[in-house]
Amino acid sequence: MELFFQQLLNGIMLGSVYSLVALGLTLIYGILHVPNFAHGVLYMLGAYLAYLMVSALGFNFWVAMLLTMVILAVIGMLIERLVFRPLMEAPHLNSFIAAIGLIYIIENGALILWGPDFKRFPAVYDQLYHFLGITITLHRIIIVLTAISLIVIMQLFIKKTTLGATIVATAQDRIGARLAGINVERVGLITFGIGTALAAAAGVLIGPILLVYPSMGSALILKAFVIIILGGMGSIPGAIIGGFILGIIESLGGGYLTTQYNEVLAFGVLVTVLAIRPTGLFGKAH
Amino acid sequence: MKKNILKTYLVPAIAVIAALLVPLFIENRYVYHLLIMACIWGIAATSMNLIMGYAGQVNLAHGAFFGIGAYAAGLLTLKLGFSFWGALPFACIIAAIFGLLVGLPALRTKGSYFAIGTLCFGVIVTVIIDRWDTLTEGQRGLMGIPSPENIPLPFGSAITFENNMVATYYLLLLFLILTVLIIYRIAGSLSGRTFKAVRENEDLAASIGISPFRTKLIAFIASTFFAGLAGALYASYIGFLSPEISDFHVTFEILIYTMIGGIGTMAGPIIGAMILPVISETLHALAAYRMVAYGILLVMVIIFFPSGIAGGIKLLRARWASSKQ
Amino acid sequence: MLLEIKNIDTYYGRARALENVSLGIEEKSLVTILGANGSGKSTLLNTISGILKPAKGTMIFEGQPISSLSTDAIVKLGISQCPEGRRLFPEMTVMQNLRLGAYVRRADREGVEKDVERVCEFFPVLRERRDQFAGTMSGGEQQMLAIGRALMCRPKLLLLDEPSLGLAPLVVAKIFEVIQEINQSGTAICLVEQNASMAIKIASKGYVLESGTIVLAGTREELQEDPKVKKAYLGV
Ligand SMILES: Nc1ncnc2c1ncn2[C@@H]1O[C@H](COP(=O)(O)OP(=O)(O)OP(=O)(O)O)[C@@H](O)[C@H]1O
Ligand SMILES: [Mg+2]
Repeated sequence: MELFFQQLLNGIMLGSVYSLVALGLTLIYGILHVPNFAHGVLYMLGAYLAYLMVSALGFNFWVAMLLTMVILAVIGMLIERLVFRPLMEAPHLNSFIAAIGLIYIIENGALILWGPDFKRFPAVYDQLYHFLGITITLHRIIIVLTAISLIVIMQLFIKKTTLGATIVATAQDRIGARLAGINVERVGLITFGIGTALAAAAGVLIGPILLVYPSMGSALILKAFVIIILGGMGSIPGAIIGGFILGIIESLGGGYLTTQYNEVLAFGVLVTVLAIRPTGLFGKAH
Repeated sequence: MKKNILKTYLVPAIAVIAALLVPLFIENRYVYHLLIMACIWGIAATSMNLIMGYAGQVNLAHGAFFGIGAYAAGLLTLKLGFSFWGALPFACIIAAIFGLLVGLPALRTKGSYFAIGTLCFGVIVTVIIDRWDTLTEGQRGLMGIPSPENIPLPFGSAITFENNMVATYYLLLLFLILTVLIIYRIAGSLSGRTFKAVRENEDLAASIGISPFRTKLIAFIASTFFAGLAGALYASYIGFLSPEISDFHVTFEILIYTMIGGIGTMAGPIIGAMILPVISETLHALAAYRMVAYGILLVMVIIFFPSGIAGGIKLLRARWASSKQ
Repeated sequence: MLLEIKNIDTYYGRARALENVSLGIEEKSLVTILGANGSGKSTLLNTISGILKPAKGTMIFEGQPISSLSTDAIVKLGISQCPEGRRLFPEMTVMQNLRLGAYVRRADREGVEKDVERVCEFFPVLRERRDQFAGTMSGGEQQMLAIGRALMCRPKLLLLDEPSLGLAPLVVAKIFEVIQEINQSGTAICLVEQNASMAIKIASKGYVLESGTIVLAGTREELQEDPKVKKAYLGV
């Protein structure tokens, strides 16, 4: 039972990070209708920037996180403007491949700048808490709380603000949005910025636990895609719930089932689901 | 009409003759090595072109099928004692059977779903090769995969391939030419029009009586068959395999050759497979810088020259022709 | 002249859908555009709205050239369209759809609420269905919502693309009534309709499009008397 709760808690923590990444990804997908494979390397970049700020510049963790989110939002917008927007009218294949190009650039750029070795954040919030036989560090609690707060803020933003409404409207009918006088290009830019900032936040949060290294985004991005496919491409609640479910499944699976194939558990689930339902669990028929 | 036939076949004919004459001028083993690798990647890229360029399906498991062909050849020769010649067709067929098994469900999905589904399948293949070490030797890798056995000739002589770069080069060139002929036969017989219809609008294709699913499945299986062939030839030429040969970097590498060479054109993938590995090899020490350069190249090409080098040449020629008029 | 279009050509890829089209819409007038299926009516409206860009020619709205403007800028100037296929936001409520229709004047909260009321006066169903998702409403209700949404930005010129398409005669009558009311309150309207007899009746001026070119232009009386129009569109 203790193992179960321990793993469950780990799963929730992992899941909250997955949710953040998947939420950003699904927002971007909703507007661009292109899977942004480069989302994972942006998450990695976020982790590195925060690591550098905290370890080399001695910034406070939260300041570093906020700054990183802003910087990555700008980078995300630049990418949208320079790479994805020119490809808007081209076949989807082209945007796929451009995203793969971005992975090459950013991941290897990180390798050149910071080397292949794992970086460890200076210890932050590493107090231990014990209860009911479970041990948990403060940092893990902070991860979950911060991630959930960000998710709630995003939900409020989307539901309650006009800017949020324009994002949803553009995702639902791009031409309709244009005819309503919405500048869909600006919406695309902003969405890309927000989505990327969320990925960065996830990277900063998990960095101190999972270590920071150039290819840390590759494994995660595929999982994020699994989540948004299962949750319905472009669906916001799907991404959030899916993220938690995957985190918990993985964590319990690692505790009880195989550890050897743990990392591909999610992919196996996805391949099976797609074989049965080609549009995903909650996806609408095309 | 006559002029047209001449035009269509002239350039490929010159290219083939030039490729055949290469050994008259070159002795350097390293150059042969580059040429042989170009043939292998040329086969892989040409087969990718069939499914992506002509059928419009982004198969991100191409490297996995390459790896399946390679490991099939390696395991059949090393563990079951097959000869290279015996293992080669089996390796292709095994890759194609996996192609069928993956294609049947996967091709019912579309667009991003297909791309990500195949990407996931690819990761699973790599992990299985990596972890199932009682079969595949895992991270230790498969060592000592044999070169093709000698082909006996009349009067007691024979063609040997071991340590014979010229013979190996000719053999691979032959396979490349065969691949190109067969793939473009398939592309043609499924009719370029059918493929285009499928790529551009599936519902439309279905409404005029083209079965997009069947067309895509045939393209997919053929493409995995030849990816397997490329893998098997690679296994035998290099003689050593490790799980990385099936992973998504390989897919991306092949994708880059295809895209930069020119997707949807016949010459493009081969041009890409010839030029880019040479760049890779020369920049070997600077692997990370090379990758960054590749990435920038890829993004630029896709934005400014979406039909790659071959498409660019076509465009220039068309422009030149129209300016002459 | 509120909108003056001169010699525009519009292409889809290499196919020309509009050729040398010129027309003018007076302030507060109601102009109808007739034409067979595929003659280019929707293409024309989308060109005016900036969804499509004309390859040549000029479009002047209140003295300002608009052919190079983006759609949202054109909406801001006061040209709004209720498009073919309605283009609603299916998973947003009726009210959210209406409010987004007023996006360009979102700062004027009171005015927007007033206009929501005005639209609901025109189409009381919309008030009843205020919290229903647009995508789950019936075709007729969706059409009313689409017209309502187009009105929300207080356009000077309203482009309507076949507002009566697929609706029951009673609903059609209702929609035509509203169109006239909107027009009388000072909004110029450009009405594309298959229902030619009704459209001509309420229009002051009309144009006939045939494979992308304007083959006939005239006042209501001229059109009603024209033998070709009579035969092809009025069915008499
Ligand atoms: N997206 C498109 N791509 C290519 N051609 C198009 C496109 N949209 C319309 N066309 C073509 O342009 C021409 C004009 O189309 P348009 O939609 O403007 O006709 P319409 O007069 O509105 O017809 P309808 O009464 O059926 O709505 C048609 O020949 C049509 O086939
Ligand atoms: Mg129309």
